[in-house]
Formats: sequence, structure tokens, C-alpha cells
Amino acid sequence: MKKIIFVLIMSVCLFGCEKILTRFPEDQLTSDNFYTSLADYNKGLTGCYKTLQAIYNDNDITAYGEDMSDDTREPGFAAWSDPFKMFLKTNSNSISGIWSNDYRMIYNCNAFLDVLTKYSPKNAVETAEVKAMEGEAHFLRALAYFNLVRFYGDVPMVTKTFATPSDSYGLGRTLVAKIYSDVIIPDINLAVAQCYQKGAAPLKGQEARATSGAALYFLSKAYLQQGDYTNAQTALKKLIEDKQGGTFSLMTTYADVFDVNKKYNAESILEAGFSIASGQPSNFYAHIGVDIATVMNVRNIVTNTIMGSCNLLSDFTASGEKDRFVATVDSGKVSYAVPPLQPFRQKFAPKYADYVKYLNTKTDYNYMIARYADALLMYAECLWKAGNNAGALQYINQVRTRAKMPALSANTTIDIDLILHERRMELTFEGQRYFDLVRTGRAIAVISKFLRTKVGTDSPPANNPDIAPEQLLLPIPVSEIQKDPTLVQNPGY
Amino acid sequence: MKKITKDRKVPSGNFRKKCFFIMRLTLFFLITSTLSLLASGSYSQNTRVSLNLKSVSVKDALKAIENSSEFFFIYNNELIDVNRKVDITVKDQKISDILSKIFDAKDVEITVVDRKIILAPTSMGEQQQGKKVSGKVTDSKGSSLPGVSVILKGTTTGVMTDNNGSYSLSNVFENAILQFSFVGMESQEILVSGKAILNVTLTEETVGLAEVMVVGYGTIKKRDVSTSISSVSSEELKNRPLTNFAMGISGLMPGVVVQNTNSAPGGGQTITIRGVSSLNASNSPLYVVDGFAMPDGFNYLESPINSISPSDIESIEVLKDASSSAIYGTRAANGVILITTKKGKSGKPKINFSYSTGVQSSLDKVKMLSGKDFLQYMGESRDNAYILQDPNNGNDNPNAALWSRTDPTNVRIANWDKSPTSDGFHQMYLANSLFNRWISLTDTLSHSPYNTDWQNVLLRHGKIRDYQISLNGGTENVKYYMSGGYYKNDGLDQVSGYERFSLRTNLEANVTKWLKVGLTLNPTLENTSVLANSTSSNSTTNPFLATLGLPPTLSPYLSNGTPDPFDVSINSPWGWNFYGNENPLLSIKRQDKRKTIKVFSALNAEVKFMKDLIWKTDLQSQYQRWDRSYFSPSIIPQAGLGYTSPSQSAGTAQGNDRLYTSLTSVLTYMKTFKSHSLTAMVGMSVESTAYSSFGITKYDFPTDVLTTLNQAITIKSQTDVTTNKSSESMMGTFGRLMYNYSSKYYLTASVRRDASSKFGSNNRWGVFPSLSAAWRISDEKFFKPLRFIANDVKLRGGWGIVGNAGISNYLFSPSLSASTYLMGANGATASFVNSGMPNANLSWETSKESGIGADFQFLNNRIGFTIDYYYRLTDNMLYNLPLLSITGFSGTMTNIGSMRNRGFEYQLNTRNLTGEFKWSTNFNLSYNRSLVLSLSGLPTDNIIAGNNRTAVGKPLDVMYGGLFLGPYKNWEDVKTSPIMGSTTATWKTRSNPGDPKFADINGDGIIDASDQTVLGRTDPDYIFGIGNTFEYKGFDLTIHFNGWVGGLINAQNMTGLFTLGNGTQNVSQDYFDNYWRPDNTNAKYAMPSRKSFAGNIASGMAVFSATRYTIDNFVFGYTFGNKLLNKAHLGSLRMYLNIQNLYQWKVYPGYNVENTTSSASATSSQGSNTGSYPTPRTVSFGINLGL
Repeated sequence: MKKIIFVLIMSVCLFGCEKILTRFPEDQLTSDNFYTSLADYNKGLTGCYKTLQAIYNDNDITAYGEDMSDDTREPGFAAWSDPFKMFLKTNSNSISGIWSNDYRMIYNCNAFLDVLTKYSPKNAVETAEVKAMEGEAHFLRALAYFNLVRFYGDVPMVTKTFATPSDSYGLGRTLVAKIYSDVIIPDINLAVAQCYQKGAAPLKGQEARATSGAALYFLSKAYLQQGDYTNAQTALKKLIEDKQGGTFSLMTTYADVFDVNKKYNAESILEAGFSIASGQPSNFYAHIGVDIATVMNVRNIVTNTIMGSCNLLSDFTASGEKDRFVATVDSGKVSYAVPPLQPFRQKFAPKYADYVKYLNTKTDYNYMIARYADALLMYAECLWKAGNNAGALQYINQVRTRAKMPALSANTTIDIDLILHERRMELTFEGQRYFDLVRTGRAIAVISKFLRTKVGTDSPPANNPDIAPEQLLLPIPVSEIQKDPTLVQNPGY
Repeated sequence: MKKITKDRKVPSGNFRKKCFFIMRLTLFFLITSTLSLLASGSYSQNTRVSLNLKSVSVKDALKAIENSSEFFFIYNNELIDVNRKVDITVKDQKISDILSKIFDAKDVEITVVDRKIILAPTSMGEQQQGKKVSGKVTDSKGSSLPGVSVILKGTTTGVMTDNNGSYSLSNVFENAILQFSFVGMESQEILVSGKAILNVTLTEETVGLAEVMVVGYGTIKKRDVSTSISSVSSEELKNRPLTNFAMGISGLMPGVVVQNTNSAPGGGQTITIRGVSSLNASNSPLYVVDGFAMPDGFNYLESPINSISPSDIESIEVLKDASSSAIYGTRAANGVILITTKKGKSGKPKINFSYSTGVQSSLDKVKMLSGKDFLQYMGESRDNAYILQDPNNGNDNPNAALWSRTDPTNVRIANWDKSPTSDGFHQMYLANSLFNRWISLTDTLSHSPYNTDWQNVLLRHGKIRDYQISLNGGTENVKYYMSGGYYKNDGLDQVSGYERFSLRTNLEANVTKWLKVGLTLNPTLENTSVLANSTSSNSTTNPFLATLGLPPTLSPYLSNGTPDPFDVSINSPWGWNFYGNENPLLSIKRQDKRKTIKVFSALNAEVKFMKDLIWKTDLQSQYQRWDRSYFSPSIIPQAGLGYTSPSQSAGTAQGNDRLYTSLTSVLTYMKTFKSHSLTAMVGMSVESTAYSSFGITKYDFPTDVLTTLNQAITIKSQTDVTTNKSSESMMGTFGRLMYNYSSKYYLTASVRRDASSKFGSNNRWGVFPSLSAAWRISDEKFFKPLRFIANDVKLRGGWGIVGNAGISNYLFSPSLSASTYLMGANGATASFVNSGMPNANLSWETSKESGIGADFQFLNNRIGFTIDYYYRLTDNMLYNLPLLSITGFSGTMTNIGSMRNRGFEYQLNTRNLTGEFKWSTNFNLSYNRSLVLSLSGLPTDNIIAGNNRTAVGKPLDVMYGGLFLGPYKNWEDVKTSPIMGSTTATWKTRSNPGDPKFADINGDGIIDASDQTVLGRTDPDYIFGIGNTFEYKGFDLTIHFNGWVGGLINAQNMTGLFTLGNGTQNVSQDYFDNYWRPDNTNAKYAMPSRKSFAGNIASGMAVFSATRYTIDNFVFGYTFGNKLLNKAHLGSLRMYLNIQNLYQWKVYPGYNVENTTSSASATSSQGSNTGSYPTPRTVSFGINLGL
């Protein structure tokens, strides 16, 4: 009897059940069943925005956009005097972060748009919210492509998610013009139509979301990058005069634009958010170098990713804009420096910073991707191009006077160099200079000259040849070409 | 109740006393909890029992007494007639009175010990009743056999034969049976039948020892093995005092490669069986301890098998081929290692105590430069930098005059200033710059009073202490083995250490005739102290690399006696001069402590339905908790802050725990009829594992004294505090049929169907069959003429399919990764994005293996030889496919391509001398060749990862890099060689004589990264081991020699130390003696230079042959003879001297030639050496004492 009971007990052990084989992550949600309410979709949209932190980090777009211009140089490279030299050996030096992070944002937006279509709004408010979300996802996707075409030229066009890895091979590169006409412009137009305006009630507490104003700004920027001044002017008129994207205005004090306590201010168009308390501090400050240290014969500590060039500083000094320099760039003393007085960047940097503290904790500063002053200067450029000198001066002077500079007189003759100078002074280190030089066709001349001109103790070789036109684009990451040989490398690399 | 105990060493004595002694001990250990020691004889005096029984058997009457009291009876039902019917009616009587009514005092002697009542036939106690039996034991040749154990069957009474092979036993009954046993001989049982003289001839066992080998879910006679299994017995382990488990098999088995990836105390090893066959899934074998699968394989930093005390190990078997391992299904792709721990043996309790203590020292100190040579090297590397800067004075003319090495400092500076390509070192022109130090050796360096041997600063002698006590014994029905151990190893540096407390209980009980239960408990505690960064590839922070690279001209201490932080700030003359190595005296201030608690417990029950049908069910759980606390104090200067500031103190607490449970149920049918022998087995197994973990990192401790995280102030990032959870499960059903016909023809077939939760429901199940056959050709008639040479020859062949599921969980499932983002004034809000590209079709990696082999025994077992050949085809390799960025992800796990491993294995065991002086030798040699057959599923035909490349038509994971051809000899050589780097196409930037020269593989005239090529294989050409054991009159000597021949090892992060000096750190004497100098142009190495060489592809510059020959084990021992032991009342006594890693011959210049970064996912890490922990030489003395 005992034996039978025992055998029965043991037999229970034999009833295995396939159920135990079905395991799903216990500390992660799955995308199949997560999205139910609009609040869930908002979290998915937040995920799309979060990629901005990776794109506008301290050593990809923000660094290389600067290093390729005549505003900064990269102290880490021995070959600093030729910023393009570092890209020559594509195997080791191609910049993949810009590529992969922008495509990551494109993927996130595509994936989000996939799930968003499954939601049916229950009322008008929800309909507006769903439309805004759709617009914002399209906007972010367009922004990513805009970054990609400006850095790499033709790129693969991806507007849906891939089911299997093999679907992703063999796409090749799509012409820049087609990326603009098929993705960037339609996406931004959708965003212009569907996003909330700046200051709209649903954006309260979520000011980082893209507005129709941000869409108009990038619409004009995209047109301008293609040399289409007419369409750019139309978009900027809607933004500045018609206030179709909501109300924007210049901050009274220049430094307030970047003030850590005045995020999403009246001048802000788009920001990437950072915060120490949330465990998402900005590294940017720690990687911006001391700019005029070399002018003052002070050796700096070479740990920065980007460093202001003497060439830039001479532009401030030569054009008598020292006041503007103080208002926009100089942040005063830095205690660690030897001697302790050392100019530092105003933007994104706390005043009288304790270097050690901020090197350890990083900072709370948001990265300003787009701001109204840039829109005004672009509008001025469009107006000048359209022959409206007075209109152009009006907007240039708005920006100048805010930066403690005297207004230009009404009879000032505007040319592209003046516009570029104003933009360089106002938007120093904000990732605009290089693309301005490229779109105005001045890049090769200006940068080549910069590479030959001795300013301060910078001593580049005087006989450096002009940079080659193909060097205006970055090489496509070699690791990508190795994975898919249909991706043809940019010429010259 | 029957008592059969075999014990050769039982001295004859009073049986009853012996019997009681055993019982007492047994009971003491088994049921102390229920039968407390408080009990005394008073129980039998005070207890009164009432009974009213009519016509019951004595047996039932005794049972009735047991039921109505706490008494229990111990008797042998063959000696006591318990079937006799009795009537008993008693009321409140003493037990002794009742028993006297049942038994006649003439027949039965009653002994009451507390609650135990022992019934014995009276005759046993009376000498005159039994007769004396004596005789002589001889072998088949008639020589006398001393030391044969002669035991009276059913008792523990026995003697050993003396030197003449004679024995004598008194008090033997007429119908008694004598058992004769001797190692290596067939045991015999002989009925006495009243004879007074019994001479016995023992015959040798036909094949070696009739050892039983453990195979998957069962055992098999070694003779009957039809697959490729290597084993190490306890006898062999005895001669290898182990510091860790892997030592137990290292070099003993062909086809098994053991690498000490981390030789730090408590560190891990990598074991590969028959080659590496998986790209990204696990390459670690499955470990099965006493039939219980361990949830994990080897970890390359910490060994999970460490928790098994090596002295508890009885034997180790390695299932190498698929035909033997397929029964383990999906986890057996890389072979199976079966570990059997010691079990109780019935008989007199044996207490074994072992102790060993030893010292460790680094096997090698790397010969680096000291004082004067170092200064010369620094001077030369600066001269060279100067020459390198612009040899042609800016002219693009190869024949222009060079700057001269004899130029004085001021000329050098002036020349350099004129140089148009000054590379932006503009600071050097400034006042107070350190430029002149950079190009000439003019600073205080040359006046340094120090000549520090940095290796001595960090290294010390390690210490090992090992205590182990074990107890085993039992009755026929209950057997026990218990052990407790403490092991402590202080490492070779001032921080590393490991200690282990381990306990083990193996208990087996025959509950009834048909039910057997077993219990295993094995709790362990391990404390490990790790020298922080000692396994890091970072040459700045790894203290072992720092000790090699630090200049001897620096002092470890500041003038105030504290460690010098090597303040390399602006004003320090060192700032511009030296590599940022950390002072090892500061490195050791980091604390990295780990604690592992493991509790292994298993319960099994075995039901015997019939004689031949057994059902065994195992239930086991393994709980493991791992904790780590790490603290980095602020006193360590921080790089990037100019080393002037203290660093930010940081502390980490980490922990994970794992609960593994499994249930295995196996039904076995064994039948032998006539010459047919059949074993059939079916079974199932369910396993599940739950993991949870946490991690916290905090910063800014108020002081460096208190290191608990409550003290710290800052949490930096969202990911600084995490908890995670996951789980996995497996399920399998399996069956096996083993058949043999008169041990001549063997056939085994098995099949397993397995499922793992790691795969989606599409591909969850896999079927893994196997087949093997063997033919003992030597038993055939036609072989008879050859039998005098080869007495046993067996041919084997097998085929099988095994699976590999060694990947992360949930890869089939689409999941979201959670984070937060700052969407505005509301602050951080939750964000979700897809966390990867799921692969719902993910499935097993499968290996199909075919093998043939043969086992030979020559000259009456004096020579044993085994040869094996295998061919393993791995398909659907699990590979983390790198994705195009446009997919949004960097990679996804997929099944791609195929590869094969094939190889030969040879093993030779000889007994060279067998007389009083014994000498035996074992030798094994094996080699494996891998070849990638296809990478279908990849858009390219090769994978380049790190310094390794995997390509179709090439061995797996070959070394990849620039092919270094030595330095350019002279200008003629430079002019006629391809140009280094595309950016140095003009003469003025061309290479110099003395620069490293690489091969222009693609022949385009420019040497760049596209000229990287396959430099060679990372796996050895072959490995071998030779062991010799000598024995003479109690003395034994074992020397084991281990060889690894061929293969490459890459130490890229040590290039600057060994093959290309950079003028910022110390270099090896070998490099110094052999680098290019103007007067030594035919040199082996390129010249050192403070300035880096243009466009070099240095990835191939520190590639060395991994060949090494090691005397890895030396044991000299003495085992005391019985005479002496008997006098001292000891069971056994052995003393030994053991040296591990006595000597090593190697090419590689660093500390440790083993592959130090190999992890379970092998691709890209094979053959990589980052210079971690030095290989220790251990000299220890040990004593084993048996009571």
C-alpha cells in the first residue's frame, strides 16, 4: 500500500506542463500590450523625444558641427590645424554617433506612428492630441533626416520599421533632394498643420514638445539649406509676423536665453532637456573648452572636445564687439584656471563655475536646438535677398541691440558677409555656423583660409591647400558599409 | 536486518563491541536530533510494558514492543529465529523480563543499550563454538598476495593477509562465507563448509579496474563504455592536491582545454571541450554534480564550481562526444562534465582530516628595465622623437640631410620650431614649457636617486591554508558522508584573497526493501577580495600593468611617507613625460569585496518495483546569492583633472540572487539474460531558474573611512539605482536503450526532446537523438592469436545531435525599455521605446557530431591506449547579428551559418614497473581544427570584432591585424617599401629607419588599416600532458607536465611595454636589448619614440606565440604503513609536498600566457591577453590523516 501511495506521489511529479515554458520579461513591458490609453501613447512619444539627448550630446552633432567650422577646433587631435584631416582615415575615424542616433530617432518615430494608428480618439480633445502626437513624431523624424542630409548627403530613406534584418539590406542611398521632397518637407508640413501652438494649454508642463512654431522654423531652415529663399520667407513670415506657431519673442537679457532657471522661455523654439536631479545631466559644459586661453598665454587642460578658435575671437575683437563677447560668451572667472581669470563660455555654463563640481555632476542646462533670434536673422536674410533692406535691418537690429550692440544705421549695405558675421556673433557655438557657410557657398573659402591664417599662437601651415569639396560631408560610418555594401561611401574617403 | 561491511583494514577484535561502536556512532550522527544524548540506561530500568499476544511470531511480538514503547530492536533475522510463534501476556513488566519470556538465554544474548535492544545468537559470543580458519591467498601465477581483505560475510569481522599472503580467522561457523577482495582482482566468496584450511587464488580483473563510470542519468562499467568519455578517478585526484576544480582535469584529458582566465584567488577558468564552436552562445560545458545539473557553466572571472570543495570530489567524468552528451539535450553542446562527490560507505566510520598549507609566488617576474638602462631608453626615445619629427628638414627630398641625433638641445628646439608640421604642440614654444624635456633628457629624471622595482611594490607572497574534515560510514541501510572545510588563499598582491567555508552531507538510506532515499546538503560561503581593475584591459588603471609601466626612477612614496599620487599637473616635470599610470599603492586602496552564498540541496527517492525496474526521482534546489561592495576613495587622483584634485569618491553595492529548482524522474529497466544485457531508461526533467538583482552607485562620501552607501551624498544618474528580475525554464523528456551481447557487441541509442523558455513558441522544442556502437574485437575467436599482445581491443563509433541555448532570456519577445525624459516644467516623465528587434524565430544552435575511437589494452593491461577522432558540425549558430543603424538597433540575436570542429585525441597509460618499485605513465595529446563553413544570413562573409576575424573558409576567431615585419632597416629600406598611411604620402612625412614596418597586404603601395590580415590561429596546434607516478614502499612521486603548442596570443594593450616603446613608460629588457638603433639596424623591434609613428597599425605588434610548457604538478608523498598505524591506532596517514606550476617555459613576455578575457561568448575574445593576474607558483605541504 505504502508503495502504491509513494508511487502515486512521485507520479505527480511527472505532470509537467508546457505553461512553465512561457516566460516573458518581468522587469520590462512588451510593446504588444502596453499602449491602451492616451497617457501610454504620451510615454511612447516621450521615448521619441528622449533620443534628442543622444543626438545633441556633448560629442556628436554639437561637437562635430562646431569642429568642422572655423569657430572651434578639436584640442584632442594632434592634427587640429586641419579639422578635416581627422576624417581621412575612414576606418578609424568615421563619426557614427550622428548617424546611428538620428536613425534611432527615425526608428522610434516610425515605431510610434505604427502603434498610434491603432488608437481611436474618443472625443475632440483626444483627436487634437492624437493629431499633435502624429505631427510631433513626423517633426522629429524630419529633424533627424535634416541632420543626416546636412552631415552625410544622400542617406538611406526609411519611413517604416523593418520586420526582419534582411529587409534592411540593399536600400542604398537616396538623393538629398528626394529626402527633402519625400520626407523632410511633407513631415514638417504635417507638423505645421497638426502640432499645438507655443503656449497652448495641452502643452502646459510639456513645453519640450515640438510646436507648429518649431515646425515653421525648421521648414524655413530646410528651404534655406536648399537655397529656396522664397519658401523660407513664406514660412518665416507665418512664424514671425503671423504668429501661426504661437507667440515668440527675444529675451531682454541675452544670458537669460540659456539660464538654467528659465527653460522653455519666450525665445526658445526647441530644446533637448537635461537635469541632474533626474539622473540625466548634460555633459556639454564639461566638454566645451577654454577659448582664448591661448591668446593670454595660459595653458589650458586639454580635455575638451571642442575649443574656441583664436579666429573666432579675432572676429569679436576686430569688429569691435568686445561688449557682445562679454554679453554672449564670457562668463568670467574660473577658479581652477591658472591664473584664475579665464574667459569661459556663457552659453550652457554656470557663472563662476566650480569646475570640479560640474565635471563630477555635469549640469542642468538644456541644449538649445533652435531659438527665435536665429529665426529673426534668417528672416532678415530672406528679406535682404528679396530686396527689402530696411526690413532686414529691422530684424538684425532687434538681435544686435539685445546683445548690447549699437543698431546698424538705416543706410548700412547688407551683404552675405554681414549676415554671416551677425549670425556668427549671435549664434556662437550653437551649431549653426558650419551649415550657414555651406548653404551660402562660403564654406570652402572661409574654412580653407582659416586653416592657413595664423592668429594668436595658432600656427597652421601657411601653404595648406584648399579643402576639397567632398570634405564638406562626413564619411558614412565604415561599419555600416561593411554590413551593407550597397551603401557607397562619400567621395574622397 | 543484515549487516555487510567490507573493510580491509578492520583489525580482528571483539565482534560485539565493534558492532555496538558502529551502531552508536551511526545513530549518533543520524538521529541526534530525535534521540538526544540525555537518554541514559535508566529508560530500560524504568519503562514498563504491557502486552497481550496470542500465537504471534516473534517478529510481530518485537514489533508490538516497539510500538508500545520507545525501544527498538536490532537483530539479524538469519541468525535469530523470529518466525517462531509465541504467546505473551504481561502487564507492566520490565523489558528484560518480557524478553526473557520470549527468548531462551541459551540461544539469544540480549543487550540493552538505552532504547536499543540488540539480539545476538549466544553462540557468537562464545569462542569455542566457532572454528579457526586459515589459509593463503595467491594470484593466478601462484605468488602470494599480501594485503587481501578477508571478511566474514554478514559481519565486519575480517583480517588482512600478511606479507606471505596468509590469514587466520578464529571463531568461524561451519556455514559461514568468507569474502576475499583485493584491488585489481575479482572478489571471491567461499563457503567455509567446516574446512579449517582455505587456500584461495584470486584472478585479475579482466580490464583494469572494474570501475563504474557515471554517464548521463546512470552508471556503466568502464569496460562497457561505447562513447568518448574521459575520467579522473579519486585515486588520480589523490595525487593532485587541488586548489580548484579545474586543476583536477587540467592536462589529464585529451580534448579538454583548461585556461586560467583569472588566476586571482577564487578566480575563474575557461574550459573548452573539443574546441570552441559557438559565436555568441555559451561555449561552456554543462556541469552535473551527482546527477544534478548546475545552472551555470564557468564564469571567466569567478568560478561557480569553486563552491565544491575539491577534496569532496570522488571522480570527474567528461562526456566529450555528442553520442554520450545528447541525453542532456540543449545544454550539452559543449560537452558535459560530471562530478561525483564522495558518498558514505557502510562499515566502520572513517574520519579523515586533511590539512595543507603553502606559499604562493608569481611564477614569473617580468624583466623590466632598471635605473641606468631606463634612462638610456628614455634618452633614445626622445632622440628618436626628434628625428621622427622632420627628418628631411621639411624638404620633400628623400636624400636631404637629416637632423642629427647629436644635435644639442638648443639646436633641437630651434629645428623643431622651424618645422612646418609642428602638430600643434604650440604650448611648447611658450616660456616655461616642458618642451625641452620632451625632446631631450635634461630634467631631474637623470638625477633620480630611486631605482624602484614596482613589481615588488605590489606583489607579495601568497598564502594558502586548507582544512578539511570528513566523516563517512554507515550501515547497510544508512550511509553517510559529511565534511566541513575551510580554505583560505591570500593572493599575490596586497588585496586579493579568497576564503571558503563549505559543508557537505551526502546521506543515503534504504527505507524499505523497495525504497531508497538520498539527501545532499551543500552550503558554502565564499568571500573574495578583488584587487580592483586587476582584470581590466585598461593599462592606466590595471595595477599589474602599472607595475610594469611605471618608471623605476620614481619613488612610490612622497617625502612624508604617503603614496605618491604622481601629480602630473602642469608644473610637474613628469606631466609631459610619463604615461598616467596609477601608483599601485593607491590602486590597492580601492575596495572590491564579493560574497557568495550557495546552498545546494537535493533529495532523491528510488523505488524498486521489481528486481530490474527502478524509478528514481530527484528534486533539487540551488540558491545562490552574490553580493559585491565596491568603494573607490577620493584620495586616488582623478585623471582629466590634471591629477591635482582628489577624485570623486564612489561606492557601489550590487547583489543578485538566483534560485534554481529542478525535478528529474527516471525509470530504468535492467535485464540480463544469458549473454544479453539490456538497460532501458526513460525520464523527464523540468528546470526553472529565477533571478533578481539590484545595484546602487552613490558618490561623494564625506570621508574615505566610512564606505557604506548611507554616507554618500550624490546619485548621478537614473541608472545608478536598479533592480531587475528575470526567469527561465527548461523541460525535457528522454529515453535511452543500451544493449550488449556478452560484452562484445554494444549498441546504445538515446533521444531527448527539449524545450527552453528562451525561444518563442514557434521554435521551442528540439529533438536530440544519438547512437553509438562498440565492438570488442578482442573477444572474437579470430583475434585469439593476437591476444597475448593486445588482451582487450574495443572499437567504438557514435553519432549524435546536441543543442545550445546559452543565450540571454526573452530575445524572442518585443519589449519596451523604460526611461524618463524631461518633457517640460513637469520634470521627468516616463518614456518607453522598443528595446530591440525581437526574433520570434530564434532557435537552437545544433551540433551534429560523429566520432570513432578505439580502446586497446596491451600486454595484460600494462599498456592502455585510446584513440578518438571526431567531426562536429555546428549549424544555426547563435550570433548577435550587427544591424544597420537604419533599423534603429545595433544588433539582434539570430541563427546564422555553420562551422565544424574536428580533431584527434590520443591517450596512453602504461604501467612501466609493477614490482615493489612502481612506475606508471600517462600521456595524452589532442588537437582540434575549426573551420567556418558558412555565414549565410550575414551580408558579408566575415565578422571582424576587435582583433579577431571570423571568415568563411577560415578557422573560427583568427587573429587579425597588421603584419609586423620588423623595423625599417635603413633609408634604402624605407625608399623601397610601401608608404605607411595615406596621409603620409610625401617624403617629408615618410617613415624613418627604425619605424615599424608592416606588410602591404593589398599591394596598393600604402599601408593602412585595409592591410590588416589574418595573423594566425588563436587555438593551439595541439595540447598534451605527460604524467609520471613512481611508488616505492610508501613513497610516491608524481610529476605532471603540460604543453600547449602553437596558437597566438595578443597583448595589444601591452604594446608599449614589450614591442614598441613610447618613451612614457618602462619597457622590458628584451625590448631594450633588441630594438633598432643606428648601430643595430638588423633589429627585432622598432625603435622607441616619444612621438607616435605616423599612421601605424599597431594592432598586430604585440602578437606572441602562446606556446608554453609547464611542469604544473609535482607531488612527493609518503604514506605510512599499517604496522605503524596500528600501533598509533590510526587508519591512514599520508604526508606530501606539492608544487603547482613548478616551472613554465613560454615565449610570451607578460605575467600570464593564458587567454585572459575569454567569456562564454567567445567571438572576438579568443587569444586575447590583457595582462591580468600573474600565474602563481604554489608550494605546499599537506597531511591526510584517517582515523
